[in-house]
Amino acid sequence: MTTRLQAPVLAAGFLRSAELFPTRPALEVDGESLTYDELRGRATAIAWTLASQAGEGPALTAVLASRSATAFAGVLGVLLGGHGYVPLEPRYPPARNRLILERSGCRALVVDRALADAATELVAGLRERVLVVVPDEGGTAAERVFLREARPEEPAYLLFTSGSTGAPKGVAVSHANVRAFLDAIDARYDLNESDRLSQMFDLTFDLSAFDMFAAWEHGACVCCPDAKQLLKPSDFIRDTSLTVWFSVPSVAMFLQRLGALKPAAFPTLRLSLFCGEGLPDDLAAAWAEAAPGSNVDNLYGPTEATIACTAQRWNGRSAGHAVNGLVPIGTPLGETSTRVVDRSLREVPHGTAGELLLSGPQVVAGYWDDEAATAQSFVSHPELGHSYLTGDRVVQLTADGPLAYLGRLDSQIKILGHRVELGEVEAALREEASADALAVGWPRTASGAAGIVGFVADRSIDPVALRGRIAARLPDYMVPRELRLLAELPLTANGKRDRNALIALLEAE
Amino acid sequence: MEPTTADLVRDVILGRLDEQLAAKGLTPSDVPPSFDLLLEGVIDSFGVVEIILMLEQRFAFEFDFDELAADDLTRIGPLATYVGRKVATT
Repeated sequence: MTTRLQAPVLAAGFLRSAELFPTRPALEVDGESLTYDELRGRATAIAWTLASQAGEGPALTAVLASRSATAFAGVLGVLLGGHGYVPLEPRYPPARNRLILERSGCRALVVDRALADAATELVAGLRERVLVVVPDEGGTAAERVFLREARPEEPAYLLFTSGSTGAPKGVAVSHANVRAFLDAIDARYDLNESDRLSQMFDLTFDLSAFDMFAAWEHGACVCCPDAKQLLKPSDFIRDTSLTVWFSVPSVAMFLQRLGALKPAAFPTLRLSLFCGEGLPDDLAAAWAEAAPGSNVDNLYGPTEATIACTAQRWNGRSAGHAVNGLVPIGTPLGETSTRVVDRSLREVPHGTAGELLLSGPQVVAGYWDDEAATAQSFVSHPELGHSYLTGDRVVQLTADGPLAYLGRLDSQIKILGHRVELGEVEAALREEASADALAVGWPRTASGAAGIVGFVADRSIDPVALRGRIAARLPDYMVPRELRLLAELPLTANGKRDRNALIALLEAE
Repeated sequence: MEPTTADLVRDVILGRLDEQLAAKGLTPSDVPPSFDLLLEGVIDSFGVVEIILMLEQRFAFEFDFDELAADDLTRIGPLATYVGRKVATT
């Protein structure tokens, strides 16, 4: 083996584990268990195909696969080939995935065998030629594993998040960004080769990167549930003897709601992590009781600051710190710096609400190929330098106390942990309906909303057909569960469209 | 014959999914008890949650996740039978 380990490169940790623990399980997915050696073989085969056909140099390669061995081998193979990966969710509309392929400039696409036809169709209309790679089930024992070593500042992955103007925004997260995150959590979680981590997230959600790369750095196993197991995560935790659980709080809320958080229900868990939306204090308490051998950690972090950058250990009760019944988002991880600032980036006094500003090695350079959006959210802070303005309203009650989340400064909402700009949904509705439209998160949950209700100012529209056209454009969680037709949209006293009036309307029912 | 609660639950669920069934070219009477709403693509995972919460409200019972196997959660027959039994014992 001529594996050269250069720590900043994301796949290096996996390769080290494959040397140390070749026969230990690296991945359980789709009824199949792959050892480190087997997964390395499959990933290397993909890397070779990419290298021999896609040309030299840094590049981005898409992975169209979900909850399959190819999905994970694809991600690793792309990284071993020195490329960054761009996950495409097969469930999302082809129009959405095609847009992402075009915007990212991918030259190759790794795809599950079962989705090969869909992939061919997907790339057919593109301006640039995109190579479709359908991996074999088997692998190869290649001599050289890293075919091209990426530089730390090159993208490890490129994800697209909802954009308020109607178009999704790309966030390119570099190897150095992810390295900084992995270093930050290393001591806190002390993972080892006997750990078994859940993989509750789609690859398009950046929290999936924690499960994969934190596990593989330490020789642990990634356990990916299938569609049925996703529906009944309580059985999944028990049946697969998970030791590390990571999900959005909505999944825990769902389990609590359906009576599955019974005391000591999950005895194998030693670590329970939540991120992506607010964690209600009473939910954290119920989870801690259901997983008595487990530390419960509430994580916070936008995609722009790489997976998670603050954390709060739940210690029985957040008394005095919980705001609006939510566990605080805590204190910065690793080398991240936080400031609570006003509009002129001046720090506000403790106890005063302000916008959370993040700085440090986890903050990405900016939005992918979008200078205007970058200029809006990334600033140069006089003391901290390159920083990201989160749009999150927070408060820090005391100098060394935890940060508490209060809400958004704009109209971004969380649908079961997925970040949604209502403006993007409204733009789609307006275009497809040729009428004015508003969207609100509904029904509300303790930490966000379970869905979206759209309001369109045209009573003559066929709502079923309109919903179908929206579903052909947007990811499922952004598609309104219900559309209501009004003669006109309500306005505030200042003449602005009034979302609150629509929420009041839904609340009154 | 009096319809049982399970029959009523089945009708309520399929009535709620009228639009989604129609999109697949199905009517409620076409749906056999073994029909899996999730695997047949009639609902997604959000839909499952919505249906369960709707049933709890409509039939005034509390769902216990541990009493129903994952396979039966989205199959119309077992789901309706389970809710019927819960309603009878609540």
